[in-house]
Formats: sequence, C-alpha cells, structure tokens
Amino acid sequence: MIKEKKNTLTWTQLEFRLALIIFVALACVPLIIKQPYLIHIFIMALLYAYVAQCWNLLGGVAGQFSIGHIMYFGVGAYAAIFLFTKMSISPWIGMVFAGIMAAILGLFVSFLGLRYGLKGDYYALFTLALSQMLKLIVTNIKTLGGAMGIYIPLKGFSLVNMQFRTKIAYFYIALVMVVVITFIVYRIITTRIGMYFVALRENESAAEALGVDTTRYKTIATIISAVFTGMGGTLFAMYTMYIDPEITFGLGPNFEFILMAIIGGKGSLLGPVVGSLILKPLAEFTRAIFGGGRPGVFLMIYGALLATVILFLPNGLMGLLQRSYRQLSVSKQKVINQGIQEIDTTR
Amino acid sequence: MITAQIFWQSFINGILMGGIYALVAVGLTLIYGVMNIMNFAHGEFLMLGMYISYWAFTLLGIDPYLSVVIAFLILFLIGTLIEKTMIEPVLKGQPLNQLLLTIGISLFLSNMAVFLWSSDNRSLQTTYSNTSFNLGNIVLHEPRLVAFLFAVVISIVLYIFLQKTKIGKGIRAASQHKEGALLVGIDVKKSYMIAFGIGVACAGIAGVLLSPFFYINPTVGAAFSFTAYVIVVLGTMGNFVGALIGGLIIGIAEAIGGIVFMPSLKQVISFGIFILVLLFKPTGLFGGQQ
Repeated sequence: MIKEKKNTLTWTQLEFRLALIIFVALACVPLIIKQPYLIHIFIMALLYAYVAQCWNLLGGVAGQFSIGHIMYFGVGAYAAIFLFTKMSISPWIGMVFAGIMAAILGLFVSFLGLRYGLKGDYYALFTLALSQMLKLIVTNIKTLGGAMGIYIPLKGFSLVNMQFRTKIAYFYIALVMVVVITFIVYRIITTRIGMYFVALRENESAAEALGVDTTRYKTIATIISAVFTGMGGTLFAMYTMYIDPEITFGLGPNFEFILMAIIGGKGSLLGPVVGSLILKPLAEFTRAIFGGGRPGVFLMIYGALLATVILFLPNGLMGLLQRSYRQLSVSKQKVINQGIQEIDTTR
Repeated sequence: MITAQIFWQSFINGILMGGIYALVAVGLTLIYGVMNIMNFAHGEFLMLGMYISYWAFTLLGIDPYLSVVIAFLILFLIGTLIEKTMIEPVLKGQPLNQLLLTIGISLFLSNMAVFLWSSDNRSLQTTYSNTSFNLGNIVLHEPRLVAFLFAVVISIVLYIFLQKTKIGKGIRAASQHKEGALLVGIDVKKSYMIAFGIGVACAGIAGVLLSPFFYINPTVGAAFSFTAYVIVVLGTMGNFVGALIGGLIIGIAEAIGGIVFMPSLKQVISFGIFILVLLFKPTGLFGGQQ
C-alpha cells in the first residue's frame, strides 16, 4: 500500500513563506517608488505593522486583553527622546533603554495584574486606565515638555543620531524591525512556549490544570511584547521628530495599532502586517482626499471596519485565507486519498 | 490655601457633578449587569446626547430640558438597534470580540461627530447658563443643580421601573439567570435590547443635562466613559445602587482632588482610586467574595 502523504504545508509554514515574499517585495519598494510622500506612507504602514505585531503577540497569540498597550510605546518614545535631547545619547542606546523601561512597566503591569488575578474586562480596564494615567502624568511633567510635547532637534545626519537625509533609511530600519518581530513571533508560535501562550488564550484554567505555569507565561508574553513596543516608540519618535502625550499615549493611536492586528487577523503571523499595509495607506489616502477639513473620516472608516470584521470575520483577513486554505487542502487530500484507493483496488 | 469655604464649595460642586456621573454609570452598570458586556462606546452616547441638545436648541430653539425627552427617544432607538444588529450576534463569542466591537462603535461615533460637526468646542448659551444663587457663602450654579436633580429623579424612576414593572422584572431576571428566565417564558433577547437601549439613553440624557454648562466636542465622551468605568467598578459591576453611590464618591473625590492638587490632575485621582479598587477589591464596594 502506498503511504498516505501528509499535507505538504501547515498553515503557519505557508504564512511564513508568504511573509518572506512580502518582505522581499517590500525591500524592493524604494527601488521602484521614489516619491517621498509614498515612501512616508510605507514607513508609517511598517511602523504600525511593527507595533501591531507586538500587540498581536500578547493580545492575539496569548489572548491577554492589553487594551492600553500604547503605554509601552509612549514610555519607549519618551525614554529615548529624553536621553537624546537632554544628554545627546544616541537613539540606538536610547532604544535599548526604551526597551528596558517598557520591560519594567510590563513587569509592573503583569505583577499587579497577576498578583490580584485581574482577568478579561478587568485586565482590559486596568491597562487602559494605566495608559491614560501615564498620559496625564507626562502631560504634567515640565521636563518632558508637558502638553506641548518635545520637538526633536536635528543633531546632524548620521547613523549614530538615527537622523538621515532621506526617508529611505527609516524605511529600511522599520522594515528590519518588522522582519525581526515577525520572525520572533514565528519562532514563538512554532515552539513550545507558543503552545503555552495559545493554551492561555483558549482556556486558562485548563492550561493551568495541565501544568502550564500561567503566571509565568503571561509575564513572559507581556514583557516580550512590551520591550519591542517600547523600541518601536523610539523609532517612531525619531522619524516624526516630534512627540506629545496625545500622539504617544492617546487612545486614538492606541486603538489604531490594535485595529491593524484585529482586521488583519489576530493570533496569526501575518495578520498585523497585512492589516497595516492595507489600512494605513487607506487612511492616508482618505486623509488626502478629504483634506484637513474633515479629519475624522479615516477613523470613522476604521471604526466601521473594526465592527464589520468582528461581526463577520472574527479571525480577520488572514483567518479568512486560512479557512479557504484548509478547505482547499481538505478537498485536495480527498482527491489524493481517492486516487490511492483506486490504485490499491486495481492491484 | 484651602479655606473652609473653598472646601465646601468644591464639595457641593462635587456632589452635583457626582449626580450626573451616577446617571452615566447607572446606564453602564445596567448594560454590564444584564449582558455582561463592558460598553466602551458609552461616553459616545453621552456626546450624542449633548449634540442632540445643542442642535435642538440652536436650530429649533428647544430648551435643553425639553431635549431630555427627545434624546431619550432617539438614543433608546439607536441603542436597541445597535444591540439587535451588532451586539446580539457576538454575545456568544469571545469576550475580547465584544470589547473590540464596542471600541469600534465608539471610534465610529466619535469620528462621525468630528466629520459632521468638526472638532471645535461648542457651548450652548441659554439664558440660565450662568445663573447662580447663594446659599450661605456657597454659590450654587443653577444648571448644575437642575442637572443633579434631574439625574437623581431619572435614576429613581429607572430604579422603580426595574423593580415594579413587568419589563423591568424581566430585565432583572435575565441578568440574574439567563436560562431560568428563558424557562419561565421571559423574552431574554427583548430584555437585552431594552436594557441596552435604556443604558445608552441614560448616558444620552446625562449629555443633555450637561449641555447648558459644559463644552461640547466629539471627544468629550471619552473622559466621561473613564469616569463611568471607575464608578461602575467601584460600586460593583452590575450594582445599580452601587453606581449611584460610586458616582457621588468619585464626584466629590475629583472636586476635592482638584483643589488639593492642580485641577489638571484631578483625573489622576479617579484613575488612582480605580487602580486601587481593581487591585484590592475588584468586586467593588458592594461585591461579596468571588
């Protein structure tokens, strides 16, 4: 009898290959597209993809309702910018410092949240309240610029200062960061630790009963996600050259990051990337079409899209693809099995 | 220096504001208690209430206190419609999705307001917007007092409605035990719809009551949402009386906090209370042990 061949690729492997194709294609973008405005849109899309991917690890894979996730972003942005503007320390070192600060915040959040067993809605409200409290605190600290924010001065174009003459450098930095975080997420979801994360999401008490140290893995997920989100805050600040509490701690960008991951497909490898690459240009174009006079349009579309996706595609765009891939491979498998049976019977 | 007069003045202002907070929170806690959903769009319904009052006044010359009825009807209708078409389908799904859905609704509504009415601050100038009278050496701002009284009366009416009427009893039954309510022939889906409608209408009414003396803009809802979450958690999620008492506590705490610290930091007080309650007594003041 001929051995039944297992399906060629699992969905995650396929997604990983798709990711490689998308990243290679993205790497070629600056060779083809030269207009600074279009490059800007791509940089923004990549930055959002990056943060959305960080959120995805905690919110999508591990299923923790980190609804106030922007606090890690804001802390990272302010930490590095403070060092850069006040002490002229290179943003690259600042980025590491940002990661450390975000990790401390993440440790604090998970310590408090877990120590007191906050779950679901309570955890969501807790993170949301913390993020808004940090925003208020930063708004009231004079050395951090208060509500006026901080303009980041040009200290000379150089790699050390993370300030470049062309936008293309930022494009590649952002792309590398997206690739790195996506690879990390891939490594995590294909290994044991990722299984633990998924177990946390699907049924926490069952996971605990089976011997998963839920507290430990929640903390790990939070810290990994926080560190990388904080580093993203640094790059964002260096690119836009301006930060204020609303941009770095506000609810608008906060939900925008999360939305990218949800619409693209939470818990999947490519969801946040695909979501951002579709939605961010959409936002920029609607902004360009409607102009400054009608600033609410793209967020209105986002809101409607979010509600629609939740209602009709709870697993986002990648979830839709995954479902059709499964159906396809199931029918393919049927054909193969039928063929094998026919061969067997004719022998 | 904080004199006794400033203290009592803030205290009274806190109570008056607390009454409105309580009305917003009562709506939120009703929705949570019945459907087990945290409505992240709650403040946006308050904002809609404000705009209804604003436009009714500027275009049609309708007094804000008459708009209470209009806002109630419109928001009740919007609320039931949203519940029927959007909330109901996800009730059985993952809790995260329910949360995200209401976030989507909130994004949509607040930015629809930006789109339609721009993000400028507006204010409603009625003949009584700035009237006040003295009680001893404390100044009572009339619109705030009226708003407070309205809020209290509406909360009491709602309480009686939930206790005495058939629909109200149905809503309470659905919140206590869904299957049991279904078994005794209560239309649980209808109860959900009505509860959600009433809940968001409460927020809308609060918006109308605020409109004579509070700035109106599309993002005003977010601040009130937060305060409402704080109150609802403080007064135990789903507890009606708890929301009323929690509202007054937070109102007073913010007002006193505003004079002790900088006024811009007064929200830190409620966030601080919130985080402490979440950590040490997440079941709230009136919750038993979990």
